[in-house]
Amino acid sequence: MSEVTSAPMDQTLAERFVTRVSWADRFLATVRGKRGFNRVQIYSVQELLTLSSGGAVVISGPALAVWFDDVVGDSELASAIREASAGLPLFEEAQAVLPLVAARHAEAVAMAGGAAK
Amino acid sequence: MNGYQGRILHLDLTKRTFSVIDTDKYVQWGGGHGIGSALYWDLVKDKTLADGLDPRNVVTIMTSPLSGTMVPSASGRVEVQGVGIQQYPVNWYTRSNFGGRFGGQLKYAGWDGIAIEGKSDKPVWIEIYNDIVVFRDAKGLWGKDTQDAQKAIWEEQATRKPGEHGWTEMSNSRDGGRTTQRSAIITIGQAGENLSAFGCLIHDAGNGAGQGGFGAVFGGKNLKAISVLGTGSVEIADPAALFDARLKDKNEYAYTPGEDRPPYAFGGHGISPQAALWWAKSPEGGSGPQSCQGCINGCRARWEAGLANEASCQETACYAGFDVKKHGQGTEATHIAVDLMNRLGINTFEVWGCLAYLEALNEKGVLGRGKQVDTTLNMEELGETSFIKTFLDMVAYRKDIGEDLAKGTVRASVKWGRYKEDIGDGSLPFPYWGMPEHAYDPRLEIEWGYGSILGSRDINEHCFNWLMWDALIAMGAGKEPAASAEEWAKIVTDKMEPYAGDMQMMNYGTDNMYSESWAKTVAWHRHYGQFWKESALFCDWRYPDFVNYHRPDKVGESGKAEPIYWKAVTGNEMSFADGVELGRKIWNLDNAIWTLQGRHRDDVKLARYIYEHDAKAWELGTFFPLPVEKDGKWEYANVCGRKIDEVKWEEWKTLFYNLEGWDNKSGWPTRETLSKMGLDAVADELEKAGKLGGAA
Amino acid sequence: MSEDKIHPVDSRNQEEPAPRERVSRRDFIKGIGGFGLFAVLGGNLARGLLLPDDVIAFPASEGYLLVDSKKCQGCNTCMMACSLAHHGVQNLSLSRIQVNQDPFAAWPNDKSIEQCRQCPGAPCVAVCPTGANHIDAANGNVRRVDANKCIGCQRCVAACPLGQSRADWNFEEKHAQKCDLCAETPHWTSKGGENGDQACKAVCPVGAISFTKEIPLQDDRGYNVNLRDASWAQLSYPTK
Repeated sequence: MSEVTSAPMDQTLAERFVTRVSWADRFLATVRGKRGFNRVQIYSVQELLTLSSGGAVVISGPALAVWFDDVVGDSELASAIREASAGLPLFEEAQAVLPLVAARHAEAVAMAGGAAK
Repeated sequence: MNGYQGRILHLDLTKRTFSVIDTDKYVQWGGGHGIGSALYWDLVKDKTLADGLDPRNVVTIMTSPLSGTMVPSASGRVEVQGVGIQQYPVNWYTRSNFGGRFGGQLKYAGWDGIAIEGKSDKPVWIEIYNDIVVFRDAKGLWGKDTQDAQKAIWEEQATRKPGEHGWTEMSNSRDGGRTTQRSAIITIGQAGENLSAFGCLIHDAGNGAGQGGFGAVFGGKNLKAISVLGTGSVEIADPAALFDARLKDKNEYAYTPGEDRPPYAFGGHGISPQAALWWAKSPEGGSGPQSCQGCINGCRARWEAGLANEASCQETACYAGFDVKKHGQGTEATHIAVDLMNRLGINTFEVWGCLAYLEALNEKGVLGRGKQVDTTLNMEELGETSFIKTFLDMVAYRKDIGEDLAKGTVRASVKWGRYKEDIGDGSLPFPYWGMPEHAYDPRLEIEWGYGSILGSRDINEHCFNWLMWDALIAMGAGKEPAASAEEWAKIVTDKMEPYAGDMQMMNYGTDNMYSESWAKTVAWHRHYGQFWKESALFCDWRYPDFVNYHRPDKVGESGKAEPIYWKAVTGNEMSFADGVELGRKIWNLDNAIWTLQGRHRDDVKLARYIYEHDAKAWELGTFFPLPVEKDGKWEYANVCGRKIDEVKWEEWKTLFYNLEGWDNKSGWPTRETLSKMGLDAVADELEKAGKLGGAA
Repeated sequence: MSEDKIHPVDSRNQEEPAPRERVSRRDFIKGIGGFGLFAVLGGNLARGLLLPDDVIAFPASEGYLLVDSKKCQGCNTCMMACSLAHHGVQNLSLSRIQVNQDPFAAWPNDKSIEQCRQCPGAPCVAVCPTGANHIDAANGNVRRVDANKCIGCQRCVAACPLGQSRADWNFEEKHAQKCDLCAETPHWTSKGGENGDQACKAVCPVGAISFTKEIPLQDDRGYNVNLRDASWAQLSYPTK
């Protein structure tokens, strides 16, 4: 899916997408281990996507939506995330929402001219 | 003496002599922690002692009558106690514990435990072969990591006692005993030698006594290792009963390979011998299970890759998150990290909390060369093997940031002038006595934080917690938990003698978290833990067996099984409730020691962030399901998003102190309470020090 | 781990075996006679049975412990069960089954279960001067020690062909002892022996010990077998 939301990407939003956030604004993701889980502090959208590339990540859709709303400032994406994860068990939410994030991130990177670390 | 060996080894490292303490006097305290605290009380005259490196500090290593016997998952653990160096702001008298084979070998050698005091003027190691105890020069061992040190000891012992036909003779006599086993050794690595608060005790490849900084306490005494090998017998009061109880446990309560696997997540009695691994990727090649002596189903493995043998649980998580974040998947960086921590004798919990803190400091822009936290550590490499090797080297040898960290992460934060801000916003995730979070946020899992701050350390007792994991794993996958919230609450509270019957003890709802029911839960948890787990030494991974999905009624064997095993071994008809009451006595003795060390209720406060910030997320994100009752209806509710109300919690503390019979103005034990437990002498000493609760 | 070498230590077994091609079917039947031995093992006849008259032949045991060291969790419960069932105490040194471990070795070389193999050739029986170590016909021909007859010469300990002797000196009761397949377990309520249960097998939490009535292949592979199946694979452990 390349078109995530109806709101177009603009330069300001694109810059925020590729900016590393502060400690206070970090997002907490989890990676599933063999039996247990590992917390991972996320400071940029790029970090989130890198983490997720291995597959076994656990992300709360509603929590991620709040982060995109309050920190990144992309309320359209936040709504899309809420919608995509609604009714799903926690362990299936990442699968549903990460493609939306990846697509939107790609738009932002194209506009901003490079990804955050 | 059934179960007991009747002798405790008393080592004086200053004089390099030993004597024998008669266990008989201490049997009333059960074993493990109870005997350890009673011994500490008797041997340490000045109980204001709050420096773990003080030669007068007495470290006890104590078994229980069940050690070295066939009691399932109660044979392998050993309790370590003394004044530590990790806790902040006061180095409380504290405890740690490790598994493996050491406890059994100590019993077979004819000893119930070891009490160590003094300080040797040069590095020594202690060798125990049955009743032969020798102080050996550790010059050749000092500087070796825990693996090399143990191997060197085994090699030397094999040279001295080469054995024949695969059996080692213990003496020159045919009847002096013989064994096929290698000695069990507890040792420190470089971290302990260099007196770092990160220093821990290691036995075999992966058994560790982590909390308290006992590695440094050993190092401060110039004690490198203790090796023990025994060929004697532990007498059992009723062997047939023990056998039958063990088989009943195996056949009716535990997991057997091949059966349909019940929906257990982690701990608990019915869990399989699948290793408890948090890392995202296991070492290459095959593996086989490995457990402590006598375990009904183990929790570790050994690896074809030869790395990270016997590592399990948190230590496999320690570097895993950083590894995956860096690489998008798990790599051998995690295995190398845990292997190195075990070799260097480094507390993986402290590393876990410390790295999270250093990452936060880096993100805050205050860590780096020439910065407020001045270090050459390259945080860009966090997650790589090179980073963790560099970091652990710094910790073990007190180089660079390791020197600041040598008194613990929290004292380092104080030294850097960061403490007030970072403990306030939670970037320093150390909520109780300078110890790192265990993952179970005190704002969410009530008994964890409350119990930890009322004691001396992170409680690390998962009695109720395992059930949370069962619920979380099920609900996370969209399934119903195997036990409903109401079933959990009913089954568990029915077993919480003497408070059984109050289901509110398991209501984790926010409007119940400051109730008298929670005072009972926390009190019960401490009492049960102090005796049945820390003294009788039933392992936290398997006990209590509260909810057991192998059973048609889901009721586990705890409450009934523990006394059966105790009686089969010792002949003593202690009931489950008796054991909990003995735990209360031991808890009171510990509080008396803390009181003499200077504790007052005004000091008993969780970290600021616990009171000021909501716990929006924890280890596993924003979902933390616990049983909550509202309007007569029980359900698993997500308790994320709350904090602890400091005013209400202080009121709750008063309830707790009242329930315990302690002076609620000071938190000190009262004569009335102590006297009822036969502890008048303890009351006398508190009174002499002006610290008796309720005294005019 | 030590290689198993079934090599004779007693002079009576030093003769070269009769080559297979020289043994007639009639001789074979005569040789096994009433001893109850059956099964030709991998093409090799158990040494000593077809040899001339002055060779001692032992009836085969009707029971054998098989172990899977790769499945073992190293908990030593089998050892504790053995000492408890036989002697009423917990003592690894009095166990007739031993588990060796090296915590730092790579799996599967980190541990091995060393059980008595109830050798068809029974060298520990053959060397016993008093008949204390004997073939117990009443208990399925298990090789076991009658403690009352043991004079403590320890020849049986030396005679065990395996690297770690399965015949052990009980230094508390002052007699030799060895695995008797739980024929005599005064402290256990279950019936043992070749038609009963074995303490070590009963308690093993992971099922790393099994029992068979068939004579195993007479080398390591015969006695250290693969007891890991699909359910073991579900625990993420290898089954090879």
